[in-house]
Amino acid sequence: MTDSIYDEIEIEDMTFDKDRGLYTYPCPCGDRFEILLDDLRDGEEIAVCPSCSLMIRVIFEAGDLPRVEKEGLKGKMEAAVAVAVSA
Amino acid sequence: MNISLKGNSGCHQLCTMWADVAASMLYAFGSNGRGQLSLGHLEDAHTPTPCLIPSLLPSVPPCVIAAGGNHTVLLFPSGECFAAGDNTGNQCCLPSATFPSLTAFHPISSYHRWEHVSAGWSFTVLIDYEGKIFVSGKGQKGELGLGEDRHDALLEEIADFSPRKVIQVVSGMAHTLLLTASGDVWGWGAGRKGQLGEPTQSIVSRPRKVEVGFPVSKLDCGKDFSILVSRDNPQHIAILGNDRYRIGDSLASWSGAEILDIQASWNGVYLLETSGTINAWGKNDKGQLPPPSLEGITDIAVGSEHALAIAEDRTTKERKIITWGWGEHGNCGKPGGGDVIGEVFSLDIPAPRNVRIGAGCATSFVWVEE
Repeated sequence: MTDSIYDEIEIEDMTFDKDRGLYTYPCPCGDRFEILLDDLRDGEEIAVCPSCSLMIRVIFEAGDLPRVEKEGLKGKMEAAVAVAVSA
Repeated sequence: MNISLKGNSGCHQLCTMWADVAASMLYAFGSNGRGQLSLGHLEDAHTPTPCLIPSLLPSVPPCVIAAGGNHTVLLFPSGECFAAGDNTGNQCCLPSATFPSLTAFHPISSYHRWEHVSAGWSFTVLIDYEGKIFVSGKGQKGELGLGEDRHDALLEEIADFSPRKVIQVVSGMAHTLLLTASGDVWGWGAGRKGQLGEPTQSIVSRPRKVEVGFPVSKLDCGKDFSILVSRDNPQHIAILGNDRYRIGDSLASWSGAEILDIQASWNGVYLLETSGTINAWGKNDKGQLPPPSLEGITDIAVGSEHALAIAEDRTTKERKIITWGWGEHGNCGKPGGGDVIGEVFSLDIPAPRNVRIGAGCATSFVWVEE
């Protein structure tokens, strides 16, 4: 398995797409390695390229990952309640 | 002969658009998901395939073949530039709304005569004969050099920055270096690994002087490192940034002949000596480093994880174009595709005196005069 790991990449060097909850990093083939934030939270660490066989291992601390959306959701609900009340 | 339509027999309607070019031919092969090979489609090519060539393209050899993540830029001695491939971020220097991708080379602004060009992952740097520096494309790590919070641009000049007499520009995945005639180096873009020198900054959003400690004669960018050759002592080659393959240690103990060229792949350094031999260091899990027996090499083109070279037989003077390394997308030109490990593959196309080679992210280009 380790033979097929192209590189080890620190999560700080990856690009995070908030809307898709997806971390990506350039692949030498021109496409991008991808891994979902949810998969990182589940302990997965291998990001794959959709266009070729290469994979990277993502170096990260589980505790440093963006927090689960619950707080955001709660905040939105409070805001919605506030709007409803003021209306 | 209409060279541009060879192998594209279904494109008769294009005959009027793509005219004859004097006896020269541009071949491309490898990864083509965004049209970066200029083949008129988005399919990979596993063997050298004639590119679609606009009638405006000069018939003389390009002086630069710059290949980014998914786009390719050709620069000609006339100062004309042509781009093909992904343009979703304006990296081909055209408005992305009109041209999201270009499957054939298209001219870049004819208002300028361009002197230097480089291509990074999703951006292009161009310098005109007046010394003005332009950027086009997108990037979140300062790749455009236009300042904080500037993440996209369409052929925009970097204002208030005019280093004296730039002689070379090179880009890695997300950083760019400029070399001036006096041996000074300027850079911008991603700097988290130290590829832009000290102080280490994650994002260098405006050009800054890269303190190398000596005047530089040659340089190149790897994925997240920089290599710089001392002008006064060519045995002294510095590496700035990520050096997980300990290339710096190897360079420190290298004592070779005169350097003809030095280039970086994403994870390696390739040094061509005037003697015709290549010294290379770095990642080698897919045969990226050439077999040690190579000789008679007159030119190299190093891509992300593969390379091309022109090899000349000492006695017969016969020239061959050879490839090696990671070739999953057909970028080593081997029929059926695949890596070339521990050996080289000779392309089945003629290599006359006048030939140019280029390599990018699993892309390969060969210009020949026929």
